[in-house]
Amino acid sequence: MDAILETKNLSFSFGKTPVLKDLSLSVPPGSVYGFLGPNGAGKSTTIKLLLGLLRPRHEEVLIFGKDIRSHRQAILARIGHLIESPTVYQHLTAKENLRYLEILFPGNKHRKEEVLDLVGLAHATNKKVKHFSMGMKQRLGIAMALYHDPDFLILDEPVNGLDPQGIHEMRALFLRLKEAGKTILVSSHILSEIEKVCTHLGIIKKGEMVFQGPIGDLQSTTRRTVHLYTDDPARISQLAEQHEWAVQPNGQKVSVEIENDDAFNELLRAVVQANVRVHDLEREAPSLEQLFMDLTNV
Amino acid sequence: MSTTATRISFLQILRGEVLKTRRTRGLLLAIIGPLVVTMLVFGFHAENPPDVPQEMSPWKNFIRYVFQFFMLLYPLFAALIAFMLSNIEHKNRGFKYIFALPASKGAFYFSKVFVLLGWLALSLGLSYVFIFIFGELLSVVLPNFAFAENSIPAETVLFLFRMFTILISIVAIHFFLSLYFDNFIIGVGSAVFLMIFGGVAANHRLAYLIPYTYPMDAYMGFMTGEIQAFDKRTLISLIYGVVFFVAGFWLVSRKNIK
Repeated sequence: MDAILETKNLSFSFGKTPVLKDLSLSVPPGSVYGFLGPNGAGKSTTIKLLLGLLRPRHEEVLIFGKDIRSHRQAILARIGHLIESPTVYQHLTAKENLRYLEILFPGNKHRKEEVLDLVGLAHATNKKVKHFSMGMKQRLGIAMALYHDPDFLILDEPVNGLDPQGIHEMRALFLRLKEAGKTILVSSHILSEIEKVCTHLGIIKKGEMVFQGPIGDLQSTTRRTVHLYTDDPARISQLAEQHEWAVQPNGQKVSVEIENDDAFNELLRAVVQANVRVHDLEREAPSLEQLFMDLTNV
Repeated sequence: MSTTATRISFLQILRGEVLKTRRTRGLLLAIIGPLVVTMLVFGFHAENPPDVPQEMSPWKNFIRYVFQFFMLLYPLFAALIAFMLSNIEHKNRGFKYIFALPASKGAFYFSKVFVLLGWLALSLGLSYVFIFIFGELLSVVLPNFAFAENSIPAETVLFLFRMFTILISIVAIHFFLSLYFDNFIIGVGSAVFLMIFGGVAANHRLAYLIPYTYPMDAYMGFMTGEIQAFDKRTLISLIYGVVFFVAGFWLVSRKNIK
């Protein structure tokens, strides 16, 4: 199925300062797409381009298969958004903030209560937003993004300001929304906050994509070290050298450095075919967080 | 299932903008400002009844004191209201939110302009009501002043209408400044400076090009009875209004929205 969101070599500059360079995003339908990068990588600029707040120079941003420049309103009608800090009117109550959206998107009279309940703010319906904590404002921002029941949610740093319990609840909410068929793009500069719910990742650094794909691919395509405990380390060293893998024998332990999942399977196959006894096997791979740090050089 | 099949109309956006002004100081000022001024002038009259010049009705004598305050204060009210309205979005980083809703950016911006002008019209309309109420009260407090034998002069409405057309230019300039600088001192402090400048430049041959000289001109027209609903200044004020409101839209829709 076609991507919900696709950018084609998206480039953008503020004056003479390039911010995005040939960025090609592809968000599959029904996915929770983690859009990651360190501060200043260009995430917010990308999101502003996706929402028509900044205008792409060419036909570079397609959402629901349509160009954002020529179908802005039709596209935005199917998108819920939260950009950077939430936009909530502090002199109004939570319910009045949603009443604003009820005027714009009339229909379900109970929708205000539904979305407040969904984000865990049912108890604060009539409380003025200026008395809310940062986490409560963030929840209200998400409730406002959800109000018109959009097909696609674009959430920029949605767990900012939330305590661990709040982050946990937001993750659960994202999973419920995914199960309800929504597609979600979540941007963050901290992988650990969202990796548990993401099905796909896009990692940018200085305006360029450094990784994009299903979250599992990030580790399967990663160089790692496999430690084999064997009676015949010389034979395993020989097999590794035949495959041009770096090898480090150390007593009964042989450490082999391989580049991805395919190489790991090849190593296992070679060991079995050579009929070498292996007592134990350890896999030493960087964590997702470490991979993210390595990719973005943080 | 999405509930957004229909387009958002300008009227819906306008109703939304009105909702946002609920419990704001700008709206309060639009109502309280003229009430306080009229009440103060009433108090002054009741306490120390002034001499009424010959050929002047007691109503006009009462209203002229109110209008002396109005010509000085309304431009400042307008600047304050403009700042407060722009601040609703600035404070809450609202422009990036509303401009990513499925309606034209212009509809959101110009609905704010409508609300702004609506506030001023409401405020000036209420001024008339307050003048009427406190004038009637004076006729009770000061029966010798013969309020009952006279009626509110017709030029009162003309003055308030002129103030509205004058304030279109002033409010547009200060709405633009508030959007650009997002700074109370510049947005409102500049109004104080420009009012003083207007007072100094009132007799210059090009004063008709300076909107801040218009309130005094309108007051003089009220006093001489030669006030007109429309003239060259009205047109210039409307031109200022269009230019600065459009410039404000250009500003918020083009700059990197925060």
